[in-house]
Amino acid sequence: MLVLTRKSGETLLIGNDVEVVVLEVRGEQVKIGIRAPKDVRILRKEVLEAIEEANRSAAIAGNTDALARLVGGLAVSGKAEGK
Amino acid sequence: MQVHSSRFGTVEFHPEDVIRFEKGLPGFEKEKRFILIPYEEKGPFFFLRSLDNPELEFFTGDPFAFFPDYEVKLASVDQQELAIDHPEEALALVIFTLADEPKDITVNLKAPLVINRGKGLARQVILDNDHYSTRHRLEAS
Repeated sequence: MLVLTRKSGETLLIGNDVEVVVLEVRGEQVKIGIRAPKDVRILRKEVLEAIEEANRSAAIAGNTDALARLVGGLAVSGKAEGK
Repeated sequence: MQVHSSRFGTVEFHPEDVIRFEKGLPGFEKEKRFILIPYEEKGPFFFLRSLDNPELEFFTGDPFAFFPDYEVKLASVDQQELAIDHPEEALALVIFTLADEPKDITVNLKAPLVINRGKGLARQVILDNDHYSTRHRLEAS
């Protein structure tokens, strides 16, 4: 991992078209601005990790009982009519 | 073409029914080809079944049947990758996490599946909306 020290207001360039600006440093928090082309996805890593985790727990392997209860439960809540 | 399913027996499908997640789903990057199997003939639920891994299946549903105010705003990069020019071309589904008790069932509103059925392209997109979580409880809605 490349480690650089930057001050507030200083900028980094990644490749030709990604700019990372340190906007503000306050205690443990750093405010960062990113200028990148529209086709570059910028994501908080913990969001992606939460989605991975949710997908893993959503993967079903023959869990038919839970399924029947799910559809039953949704029908009871009156929202499964799917108009 | 056929795929075996413990729940439905042998399921027939056409090659054009195959949905490709070019990058897989987060946590399941290797599984790229899926088909949708309706849970009932008519209704908001579908199984999303992997063709690459016979053990992998998700229970999904039409979010608008449950959350009429739900909004899927696609980032332009997602729109491009899915080759979606008009909103009508896209089908959005959300993944349910099953649980023994209905009250413990959650739904991932943060990261819906967006599918261009005409082109067979799909992606689990991440919405830039802090009100949506990966584990939204159904009862709270």
